[in-house]
Amino acid sequence: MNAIQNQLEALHSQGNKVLGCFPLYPPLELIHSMGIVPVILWGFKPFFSQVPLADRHVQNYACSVGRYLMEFVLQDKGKSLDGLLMYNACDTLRNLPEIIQKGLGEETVLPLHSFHIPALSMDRSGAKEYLHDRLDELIAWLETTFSAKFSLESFQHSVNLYGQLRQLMLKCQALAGEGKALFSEYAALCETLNFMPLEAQIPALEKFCAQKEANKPAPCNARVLMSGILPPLREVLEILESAGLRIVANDIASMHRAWAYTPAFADDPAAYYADLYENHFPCTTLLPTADRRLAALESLLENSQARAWIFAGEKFCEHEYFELPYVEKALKARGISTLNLEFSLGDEQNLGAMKTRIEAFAEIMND
Amino acid sequence: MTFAGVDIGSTSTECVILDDAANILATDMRPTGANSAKAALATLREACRKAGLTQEPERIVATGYGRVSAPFAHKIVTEITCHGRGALHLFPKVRTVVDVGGQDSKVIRIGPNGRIMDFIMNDKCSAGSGRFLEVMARALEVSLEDLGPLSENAVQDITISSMCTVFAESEVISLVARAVPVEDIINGIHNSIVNRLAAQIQRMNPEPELVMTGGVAKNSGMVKKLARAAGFPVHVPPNPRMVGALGAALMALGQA
Amino acid sequence: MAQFNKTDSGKRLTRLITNGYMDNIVKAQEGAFVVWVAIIVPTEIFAGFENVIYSVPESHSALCAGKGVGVPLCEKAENLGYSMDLCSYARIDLGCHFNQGADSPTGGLPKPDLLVSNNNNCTLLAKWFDVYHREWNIPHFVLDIPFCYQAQKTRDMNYIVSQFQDLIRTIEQLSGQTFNPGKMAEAWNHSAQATLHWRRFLKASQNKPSGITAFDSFVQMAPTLTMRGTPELAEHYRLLADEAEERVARCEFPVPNEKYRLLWDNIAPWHQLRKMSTRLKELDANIISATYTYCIGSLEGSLDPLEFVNLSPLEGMARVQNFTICPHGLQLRGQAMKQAIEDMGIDGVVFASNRSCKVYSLMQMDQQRYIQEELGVPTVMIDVDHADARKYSEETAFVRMEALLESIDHARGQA
Repeated sequence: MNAIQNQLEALHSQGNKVLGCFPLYPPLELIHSMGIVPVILWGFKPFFSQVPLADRHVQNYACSVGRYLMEFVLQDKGKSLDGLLMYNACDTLRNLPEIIQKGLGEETVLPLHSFHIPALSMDRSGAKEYLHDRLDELIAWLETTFSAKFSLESFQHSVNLYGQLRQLMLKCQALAGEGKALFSEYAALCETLNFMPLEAQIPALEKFCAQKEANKPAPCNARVLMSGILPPLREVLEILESAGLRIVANDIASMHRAWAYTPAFADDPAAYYADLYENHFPCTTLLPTADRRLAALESLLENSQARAWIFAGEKFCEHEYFELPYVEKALKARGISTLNLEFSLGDEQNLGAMKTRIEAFAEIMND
Repeated sequence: MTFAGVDIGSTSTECVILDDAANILATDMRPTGANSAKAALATLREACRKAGLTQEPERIVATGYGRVSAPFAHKIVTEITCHGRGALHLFPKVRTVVDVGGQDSKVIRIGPNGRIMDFIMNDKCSAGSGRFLEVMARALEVSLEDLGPLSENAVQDITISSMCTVFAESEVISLVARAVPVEDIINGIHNSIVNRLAAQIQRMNPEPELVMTGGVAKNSGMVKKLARAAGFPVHVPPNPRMVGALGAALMALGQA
Repeated sequence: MAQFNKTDSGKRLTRLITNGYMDNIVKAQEGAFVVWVAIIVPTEIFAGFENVIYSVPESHSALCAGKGVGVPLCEKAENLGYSMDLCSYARIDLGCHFNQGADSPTGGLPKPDLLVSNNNNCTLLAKWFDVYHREWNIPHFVLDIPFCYQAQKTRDMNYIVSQFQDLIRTIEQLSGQTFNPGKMAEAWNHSAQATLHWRRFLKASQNKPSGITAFDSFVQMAPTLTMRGTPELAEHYRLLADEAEERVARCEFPVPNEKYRLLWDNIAPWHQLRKMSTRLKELDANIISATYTYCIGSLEGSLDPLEFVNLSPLEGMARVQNFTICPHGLQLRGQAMKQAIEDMGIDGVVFASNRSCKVYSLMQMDQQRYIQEELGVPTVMIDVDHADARKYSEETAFVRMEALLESIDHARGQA
């Protein structure tokens, strides 16, 4: 068993009800408010070098996020997860629930629910009502499956806690931007946080901030904005950092995109989530946010004074790659240097070529 | 004072020694083999001997895949920067460099100020490298050196459509089985590589005139095709394999 | 081999398609309001307007691939920075339309005034259309169609209908034309007629030997995408079905010595239709049917023609969003395949693993196990991209397909 499997099993054996959520942006506050620990099933790359069980079920042109998710759930067999929640984030993830059920076989009963977030602006007719309907259905499923009860009071408490978490995440990112912390350190912290209960995440982030705040800002002249679904492996981040590149801001789905927007509490979960998804930091997987994406990147660049953009591409992610040429062209036209890196399964065998690209990019930036 | 550049590539390792006016005093080249550190040291020693040096060069820059296995180097620089610098030194007006190495191919774009502006490398599974040609030459039982001349005798213009090495190999084998002339097959292989390269070149907004470096630039058939596909003349240095090492030596000189 | 270009229906098809593309170009020049749609968008809605025409990029890409220009167009898109891993339909389309219709046999499609996509066939379509939306500054209307692992629920149908109504209002506003529901209802009736004839045409594969090959039916799908809701389509399919029935009656069969009846699972391999059918015929094998062709007019895990008792046209169109195949998962699709295997006496299934289409392909490994192990039907999986010939190796594919035929022989020997 690897570290993450151990961590999750410990969480489960302490009596927590753990809900494995498909990436990227499940309704965490709601789940948490019902006494269930939501764990987003991504970020497994550092812990699995191969995915033999997933390879029996999905072709190797599925993205690594999907393949690792399959591998984890099939190895876990319900040892640490009490249920699965998927939503319509992308075509690959959409196919996985039934494949997982096939993979687990009849002896493992892992309750699974499919949620749907309207892939259109909440201003369009029927969108809010439909979201409302699907949230009611989700709440009913959570209540039955986990013998839990929804209460508005508890939801408000969770919204407040997640508000704190969002602010702390932004603070950590700011510290990395100022050079008081390394981005690789922040990424390493996020790697474990994802598999902890919220009550443990908040103090861990507070501790990180307290430790780093006093540091003197490290000087830097190659400031970089990084985009992608997940941060690259730690080894890659370290190559970047030793080449003198500092990630001062990110547009990464599991990081800034997830936490940048904090909705106000609303006394109806549907209103809260309509706000969250409508005004979410733009993500390639949230279709209605597409028009705001370039402006959001430009403001990240301006605020962080980054003059380079690194695209950490998740191989086979159509959402990301359809937008890449447009973003790249627009940023180049504004004098931003750009570098495309592509990540998939088995990156560790490809570090040499990755290093050459990164170092050459740093040489250009520093020339 | 003398300056050395050592390019430790996946197939061969080269060394260039320069004087302080950037004249080439000596060069050396040998296969990298299994021990890149050993090859690097050997080529440096031999180049120094050829140059008649009595003492170590003032400054040494190492580059190439094995650049980290050169403990004697004062600095390491990527082959992208070195190929760009080396090519610019040889052809001062050219702004786009195409390097096809053993493991990968890259297109390097040089800015008006002579600085490297941007570059692009092929992805790991696509057919655009020297290694791909080696696999194909083996499948055809032809030596690597003969590919260029043979391809010029092609009659039919076929294309090897698969871009992954494994698929392309099976495609080549099936062409052999159908008794398609070897010349035509080689021509098809070249077409496929050149198409990939032309695509990379186009993405770099090239200026007219290219330099091609790396071992594959010795393949005359490929160079002609590239010129046609890109629509620009393609310059090839007399010793295209040596350009990375030359660039490294120039970096050593520049930093002295 | 596929006889489609020699039969009367084949000739009619060529004429219909050619005229369709040309008409659109002329009408667009004369000021028609042009919509580009994803294939499932209910185009009968457009019939409710005086002067709204539509083009179907996916179908145009298939045409390009079939005419052998798929690869150069993919390369043109790759030159613009679009990853080779993106869907080949999208790459062909972007390569073509960002180069003024380059290489396309039709010179490309008339430039749109509105883009309409949906996310149940695949979400990437919305991302693909978004590229034009940004580049050309053209409005993009996304239909959000909830994916159904089981039958569509009423609340989903209502949600979809409300979006259709929204779409109608949007077109009214943008085009300045008034919507006529009666004309839409008429178009919807034509579509239903066409579907029935299509099913009759497909039934020719039930005969032994089969009256058609899947390759015939692949090419005949095109007008469903580009002429849906027209009386001409219904008439074309009527003649197509009549002709297939007559051929069977006259004992004219595409593979007269048919020994192996195969089912194809995925989008058609557009760049290989002729080659593959010819080579299979030499082996006395016929891919008689495909899950792909059965998607026209069937719903949710069944191959039976759909029925719309007590549904309004918009409700019917909302139901059709859940036609069999892509907007469905493993279970419903497996159910439909089982029915196809039984109805048509299938000896073996060819799973075409298609890197361009994840919705179709990522589930085939389990589907293959289901068919092979639970239904006891021999299967094989080959790699073939539907429109990018570079992601296909004929030899590798045929070694596998010949092995499938051998395992069918073996199974018969044991029986």
